[in-house]
Amino acid sequence: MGRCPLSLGYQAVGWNPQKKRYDMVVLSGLITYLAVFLGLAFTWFPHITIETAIIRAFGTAALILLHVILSIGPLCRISDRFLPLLYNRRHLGVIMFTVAAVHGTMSLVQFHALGDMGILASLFTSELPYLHQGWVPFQPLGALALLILFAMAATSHDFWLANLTAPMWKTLHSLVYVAYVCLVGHVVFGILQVETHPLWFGSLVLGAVWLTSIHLIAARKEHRLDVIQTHNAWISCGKWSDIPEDRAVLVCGHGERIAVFRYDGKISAVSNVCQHQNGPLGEGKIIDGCITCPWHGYQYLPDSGQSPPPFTEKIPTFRTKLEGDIVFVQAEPLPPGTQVPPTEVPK
Amino acid sequence: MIRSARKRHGAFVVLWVCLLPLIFFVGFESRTSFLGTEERVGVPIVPFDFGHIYSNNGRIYLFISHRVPSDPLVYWSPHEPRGHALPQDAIFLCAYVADKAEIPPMEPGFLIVYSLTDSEIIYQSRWEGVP
Repeated sequence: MGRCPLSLGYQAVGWNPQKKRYDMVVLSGLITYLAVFLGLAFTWFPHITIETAIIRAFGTAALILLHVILSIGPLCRISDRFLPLLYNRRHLGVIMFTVAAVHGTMSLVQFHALGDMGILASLFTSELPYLHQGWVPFQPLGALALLILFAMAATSHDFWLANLTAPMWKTLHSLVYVAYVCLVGHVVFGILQVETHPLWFGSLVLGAVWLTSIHLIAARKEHRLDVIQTHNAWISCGKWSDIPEDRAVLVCGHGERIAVFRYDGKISAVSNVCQHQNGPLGEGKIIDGCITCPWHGYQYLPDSGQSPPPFTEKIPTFRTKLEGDIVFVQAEPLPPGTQVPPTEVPK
Repeated sequence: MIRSARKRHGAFVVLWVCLLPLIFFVGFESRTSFLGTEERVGVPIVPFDFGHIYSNNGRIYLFISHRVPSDPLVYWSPHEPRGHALPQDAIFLCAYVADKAEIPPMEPGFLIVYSLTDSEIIYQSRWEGVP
């Protein structure tokens, strides 16, 4: 599909009331968690040092936030009720990285900055003497996870999304799974070696089971949509009357999903892939005459696949036809932005 | 999402599903395997409330059988500690590393395990000296 500019210009954050509300809720929740954690820590362990308490508070907060972030994607695939959480997930990711960075920085200062060895040298070598005893170095795992999270946070902006292209950007951000595995290792081989209460180990296992389960459920649901129904040039989409007004049905073309929309007594078909973050356009609806992506609200005209002026994004379109009551869509896509006359259906 | 991205995403999840159980298993197992076996072939000479003292080839090792605190340090004191703070006359013996501590022969007194992280005494026990 090539590279397409995603908007006319960039600004640090395109604030709107919903984003502000989203961030306020996240920050309030985070501050509440930190306050409760520190309060309980000093109540139950009155001699704990402030540095240790802060390191643990921020570490656990980052881990919980990562679980929330990793849950949002599959939950949205399972039910569109969770879509509002997806809208500003990048802000959640940046906040999570910031929290993790506080944990990492304070740990470096506390455990590695006060000796006669360089900080990084100390970080990567301090556990080596114990390797022969079966010790798994947990600090480099945490450092690697933090590095990945930094790369993700630093590129969490439409500027990078446009310049890296959506597929590359998504691949980079898929590394969050590697970061999660590293963080589980960091916790299991680190703090859980000394904090042996079953509650902590059990909670981490439960978190991993939860994330794995919802990912598998979502994958199973997605897989059904990807079964190629036919290798013919034209694909049946069912009765036109079964397509809800201003909504779409999805069919699987030869290469990608196709969203077939019904609106104003017409049928048009476009690629299901939004140019912004490859969101599922077919799960969106037509608002003000435009197909609107359910993820971030990017819009396209249904008959041409072009974003309304002044925006310039384009997506592939498909020819459609009606045979009796049955809608057919041509399997091969037309070049992005190609105008296709809509198929008329009885209003 | 585009199909290729979905496949890549699926590959990451498969990798994740394979690795996580392994990490949990190894991590859980390693919590007990750190109890050094080489040094433990000696005869347990002093049972403690929180562990054992072993003697092996003239060397004395302390093993904690309860929860090991963060950054544990081992001290000896001639007097019984009061509260969580270290007594003024406590003598630092060694750090408790990889689930054992080699301690020098000490006079009768009190053996103390102090957590540097928590800044408090976690365990203490009367020490009668090596028989």
